[in-house]
Amino acid sequence: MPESLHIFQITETHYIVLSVILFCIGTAGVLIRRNALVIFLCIEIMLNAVNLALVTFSRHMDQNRGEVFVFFVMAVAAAESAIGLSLLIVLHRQKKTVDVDEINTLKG
Amino acid sequence: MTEIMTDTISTNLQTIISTMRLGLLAPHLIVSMGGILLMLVSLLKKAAFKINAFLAIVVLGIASVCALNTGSDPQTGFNGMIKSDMFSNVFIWIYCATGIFTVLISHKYMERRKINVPEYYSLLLFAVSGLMFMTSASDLMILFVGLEILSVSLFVMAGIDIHDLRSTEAGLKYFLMSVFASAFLLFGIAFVYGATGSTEYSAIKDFALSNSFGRSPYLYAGVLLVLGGMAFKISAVPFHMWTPDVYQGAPLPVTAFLSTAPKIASFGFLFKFMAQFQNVQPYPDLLEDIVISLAVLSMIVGNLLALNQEDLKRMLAYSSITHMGYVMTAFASRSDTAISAALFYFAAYIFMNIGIFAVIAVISENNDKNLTLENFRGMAQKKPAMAFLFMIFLFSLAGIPPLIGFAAKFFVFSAVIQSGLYGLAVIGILNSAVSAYYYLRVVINMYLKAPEQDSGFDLNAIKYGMAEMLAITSCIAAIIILGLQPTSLIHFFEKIAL
Amino acid sequence: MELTFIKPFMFYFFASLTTGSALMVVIIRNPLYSAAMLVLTFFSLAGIYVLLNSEIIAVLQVFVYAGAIMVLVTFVIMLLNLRSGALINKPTHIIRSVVAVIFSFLLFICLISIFVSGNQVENAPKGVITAAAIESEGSFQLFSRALFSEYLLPFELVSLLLTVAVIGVVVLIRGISGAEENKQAKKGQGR
Repeated sequence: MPESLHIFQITETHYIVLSVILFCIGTAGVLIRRNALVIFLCIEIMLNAVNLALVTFSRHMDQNRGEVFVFFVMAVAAAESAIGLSLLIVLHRQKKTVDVDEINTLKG
Repeated sequence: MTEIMTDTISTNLQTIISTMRLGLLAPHLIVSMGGILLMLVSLLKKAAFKINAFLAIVVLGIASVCALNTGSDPQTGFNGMIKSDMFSNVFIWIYCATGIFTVLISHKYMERRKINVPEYYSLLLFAVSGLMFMTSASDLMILFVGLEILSVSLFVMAGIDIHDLRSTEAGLKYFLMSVFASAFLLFGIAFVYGATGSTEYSAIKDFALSNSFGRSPYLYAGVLLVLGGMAFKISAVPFHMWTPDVYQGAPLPVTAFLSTAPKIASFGFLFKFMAQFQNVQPYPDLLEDIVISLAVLSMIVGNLLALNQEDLKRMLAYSSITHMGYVMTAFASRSDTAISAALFYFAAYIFMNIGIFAVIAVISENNDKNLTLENFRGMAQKKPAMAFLFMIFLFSLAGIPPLIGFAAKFFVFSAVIQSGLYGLAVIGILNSAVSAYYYLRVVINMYLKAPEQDSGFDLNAIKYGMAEMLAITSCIAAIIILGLQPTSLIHFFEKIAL
Repeated sequence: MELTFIKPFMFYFFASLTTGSALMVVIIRNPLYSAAMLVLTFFSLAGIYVLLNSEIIAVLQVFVYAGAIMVLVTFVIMLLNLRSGALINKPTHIIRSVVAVIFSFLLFICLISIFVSGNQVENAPKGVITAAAIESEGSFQLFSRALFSEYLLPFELVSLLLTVAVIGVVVLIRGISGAEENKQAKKGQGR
């Protein structure tokens, strides 16, 4: 076990490992779930993992560039969620489903 | 205490204002202000759709003229967040041209399909400004926000036909895949930042030069993740799954835009970003192998999937994957000649792709169904002029000699050979030969097959609009003239250094 | 300062809460409960940010994610009418789940092996926003000063992005309500 992973001394590596775990949970969720809404929620988990990594690095290097970046990521996430959810509503009005596998009008 | 603070704030502000240099952002600002202006004009209801189309062209025209003004010397502004040079100017011209062509082919199509939402043009302008920010950026923050401005407008544009399930589906699929890819890109950016302590390209370059990849696993992982996220946007195989669905479902003019400008912008960013690691010794083999395998896979898989595709839009989607594979070979060879060849390829690709989509837009305006290859049977008898134009575009995409597609491929592959990647060049040339098969299949259907009696598809009802005619003729002119005289353009691109 | 010894326990508490609730988001079949679990994830991440000495991000996390975005999501779930059953996740095909889990596990192994085993050099430039500076000037002040000076351009761009999003939502939703009105008007005529 490398130096940086002491159990009772929380270092930057701990936070990064947590961020990687979250990111991978999000990725798995996106690939497993077929409900567009839940896929969207899983993507939010991934974005939060990114935020955690950015804040960790930012604090570790005594800067606030990473924190400012997190602010932008949050704004972007808000904008995206507005668009994505309204697309979802439009879809649900046309066809009473949010299942990605059931929306398959597009085939070759 | 407070005095000191006000002092620091005012000095801060002064340095900021002195580095602002709004002039560098003239095209970007004009286009985004234009988008807001068009949004206001949209309130006029009835005539707004027509007025907006006209205004959008004017705004894009002015913006491309402004790009001339910023000059050819590289200049940075906004604390090093923006770098304006000839490279980004060329991309601005490419985006403006794409935008203008898209407006030209949109107008009649959208009116016929009753999706004449005036805000459509406003969103198009916002998308163009996002594109401009993406390639002018010299900081990953600006890149990310520009990319998202682009993506958010494209989600809406793809799903703009809210009464057509296909369009909504395309919008939603594009949204999910694109945000998923953005997450990977962001994670990559986070690690690049974690390694280098900055998101500015120049700082990343300095760090990479002094530390190299081997000693900084964070940087390595970050660059790989950024590459992966961008491969989604370029739709390089194996990240291509969304492409055919989105292309098929989105309204045709949107597909035309979607298949050209965003991919070119993603490549623009990759060229600019990876150029920072040009002189890093040793350049990691893994990175080079990944780029090469992305290129090879995109060319081969794109071609194979296009070969027995009956739906025309899906076929073009797969062929666009192949074309991006060719550009990826240039990207893999990491030389200045390759960059100028790629720029030439982008210019050529715009004219070919927008042109072919313009023709398809004219054909499919009155037909709600998906266009299949069978629908083109006997088109030469019914509509000889249109069939001929369509044939020229197909020949150019296939890379048949006197046309621009051939010149573009020639430059790319010779650049690849120059940097010693012979295998890659051979694979590329073989693939370009294979791709001729599915383009020529359409030509054969048009010229040699008897027309179908009962296809439910009325070729006689086709009528050109003025705008579409203008788009098609200018694309044809560019394809033929630049195909015959490619040297002046490539010389111009050769002078551009990163 | 005497809280230092408690920090590891706080970290493990919040980290396990975050991971656990994130897993539940993926596993639970009812999207409404998934959303609720996601709120829990966001809150525990806010705790992690506090441990990282980044109060402003913790506050923003609660406001923007737990407050704005999740309210939007639950609102949409309500609007889509959960009872119709369209929203409940169907059980996923087992092969798909296995492949997805294997893929993300591989991703995890790759990333972790890079970060943990690699000999990370520690020569990235250090900034001036140290813990002491935060102590004396406050996280918010430092943050906002940077936001409105150094990062003015991306800030303005984000405002442009939000404008685009607003226009986009209006374009998408206005058409629907228009269509519904037309339908109702037609029904009225039919009678």
